[in-house]
Amino acid sequence: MRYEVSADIYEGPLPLLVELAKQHLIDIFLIKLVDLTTQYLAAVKASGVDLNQLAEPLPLLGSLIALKARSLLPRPDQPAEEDEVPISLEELERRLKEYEQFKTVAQLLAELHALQHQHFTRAPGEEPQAQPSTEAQAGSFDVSIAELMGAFAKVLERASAAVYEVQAEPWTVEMKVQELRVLLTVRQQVRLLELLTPDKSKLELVVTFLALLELIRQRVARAFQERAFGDILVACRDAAA
Amino acid sequence: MDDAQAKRIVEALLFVFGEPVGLKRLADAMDGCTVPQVRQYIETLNQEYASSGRAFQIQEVAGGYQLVTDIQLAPWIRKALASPKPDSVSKGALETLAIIAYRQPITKAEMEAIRGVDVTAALDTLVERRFVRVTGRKESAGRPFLYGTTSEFLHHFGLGSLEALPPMEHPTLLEPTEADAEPSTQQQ
Repeated sequence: MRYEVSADIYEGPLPLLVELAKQHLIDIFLIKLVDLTTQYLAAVKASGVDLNQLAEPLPLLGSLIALKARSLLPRPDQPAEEDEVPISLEELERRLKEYEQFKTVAQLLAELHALQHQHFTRAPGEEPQAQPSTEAQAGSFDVSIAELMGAFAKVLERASAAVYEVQAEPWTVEMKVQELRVLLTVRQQVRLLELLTPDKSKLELVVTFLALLELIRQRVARAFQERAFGDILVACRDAAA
Repeated sequence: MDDAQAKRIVEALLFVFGEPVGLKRLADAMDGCTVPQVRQYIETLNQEYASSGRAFQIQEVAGGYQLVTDIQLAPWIRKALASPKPDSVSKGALETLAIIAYRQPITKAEMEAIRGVDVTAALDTLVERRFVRVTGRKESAGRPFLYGTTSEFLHHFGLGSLEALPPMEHPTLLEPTEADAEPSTQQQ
């Protein structure tokens, strides 16, 4: 059901009244709001059944009141608003025209772009070798920070070496040579398998073996077997001699 | 070296380079050749290509010359290279690019005044694709960045130089806010 109102100069549905007032097609000052509100109150008291129907005119009435209240206020706002939009009609027209032109050339650029991409060249980057000197003559230009960052990012992308930790070597050949010298001085003769016990790490075994070879090369130690298939023994050359 | 030989050298050099080569660089590579001579050889070559229906043409682009394939051969090449259709540039980016191309150097705020919308995304795209770059800062409040086009832009749009841009029919009036009118050589 439409909520109808009747005021001095208007009789009809409320939504239309609000719309007319908003469009300034009806002078809000000629509408007595008090008439409308009393009518509404009367309607509420009369029916009091359907809340939805009763609530419907409320926002409309509210907006009417707001509209009137606003027009009652003095209007210092008005010139301020105009300040914000200083564009004259001619200026607006000029700007629109200017923008239209840019739109036209943008379209042309799109066509140029499409056209140019119908041409193929040799794959870029096949240039034999860049000659910086002649390049500079041809017209060098400064590289922006963004381009530098971009170039660096590419380098980083290509960086293939994995990150690893450098560890101090726990055993060195020199260390093991010293050890073996001492050992051979004390023991004169050692079984090879005593030197290379399985509880040692592979690296230590390798280093120990290298140290042994070094000592043999220096003719400090010698390796021998007492019998075929027997244990290999390491002995101090002086002692053996 | 006679003309025929010189012409062959120009052709060979253009074949070898994958990007535009300047006339000066070509001339330097050929002892005793001047820039006008090289330009003449290029013209002759182009005429020969055209009249004998060859697959190539020499194009002036981004201040240099490059050997490119004829446009009619694009479908076959694209198929062989299995290359997708050329990446297009969005409308917004193109409009922004046009404004920069014709009004450079120009600030972001000035572009937005013309387009009437925010151009951040469009500008990012253009910078990323290296069609435009920051060319300096405007000596006004906030010292905003000034943007200009790159040779990459000329390259991708097949333009020899900024002068080769299609003319805007009616030279536009200068922005009233633009205190320092740019020497807008690129508009002529």
